[in-house]
Amino acid sequence: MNRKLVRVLAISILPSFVVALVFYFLLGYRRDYLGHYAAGYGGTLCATMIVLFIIPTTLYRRVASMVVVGSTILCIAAGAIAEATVFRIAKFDEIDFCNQSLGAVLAGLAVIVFASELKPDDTAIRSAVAIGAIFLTAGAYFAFT
Amino acid sequence: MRLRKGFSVLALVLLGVLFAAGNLWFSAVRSTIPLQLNGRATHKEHRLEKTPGVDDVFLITFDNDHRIQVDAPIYEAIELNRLVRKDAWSRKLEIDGKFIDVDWSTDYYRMLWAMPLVVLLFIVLAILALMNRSSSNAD
Repeated sequence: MNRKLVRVLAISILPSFVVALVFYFLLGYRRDYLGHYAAGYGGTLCATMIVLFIIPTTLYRRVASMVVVGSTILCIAAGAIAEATVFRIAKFDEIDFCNQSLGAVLAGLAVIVFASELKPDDTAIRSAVAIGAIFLTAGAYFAFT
Repeated sequence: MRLRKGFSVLALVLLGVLFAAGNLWFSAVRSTIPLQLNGRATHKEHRLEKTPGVDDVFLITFDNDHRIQVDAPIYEAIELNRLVRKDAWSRKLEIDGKFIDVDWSTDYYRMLWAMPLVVLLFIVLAILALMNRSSSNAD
């Protein structure tokens, strides 16, 4: 495994896992908080990596970090709409929204760390999308069980 | 380019701080402690969420149509048609002339520990992002 891929994997897994542990040990009696955080992280990581994949290599270094911020804000907005519509069970839960948005912000920061200077290769992008999908699935599990 | 990256990192950290503060505020407000209240409770509603018994929602509406979400002990203490009064940031809730003590919820106490740790991690990632810029430029 090349060094760049290890870096992408480490930065997309370790910080998010540490925050998940904070949620689990301090707020574990509310598994939905952990679930919303993980879903926000996973969804934003997937979406942002797909957006970065589309950016032409010639433009990449100039626009990548701004694109990550834009993509993160769009994901936060999409999360707000989802919480207000399909996931609105009792009411729009402001704390669920904050937790999923914290996940989104963490994903944005992690992507800036490993992908704002050089465009990651296809393997790194696919790996990060897969990690995002795992977090999204785990988030759905914790939010609904 | 440096400026764009610095701005991007700063924007994300500020967003993170905003949502962490939001968690603290919304968990605090359900205790009613930050709120000023003056009205008669006209409607109470206990709604179930995804996990009944764990994430239930307790709503109280007052005669001025002001509706608030409260913690379970507050919901139980306030009966319908009682006059509820409270000063902002006071821990005394007056219900028909009788005072009860209100306290922060477990959620709020736990958030007080969890949110600073999350923000600290955001700051560590922000520093890593900016250091990455420096090392890339050095290359």
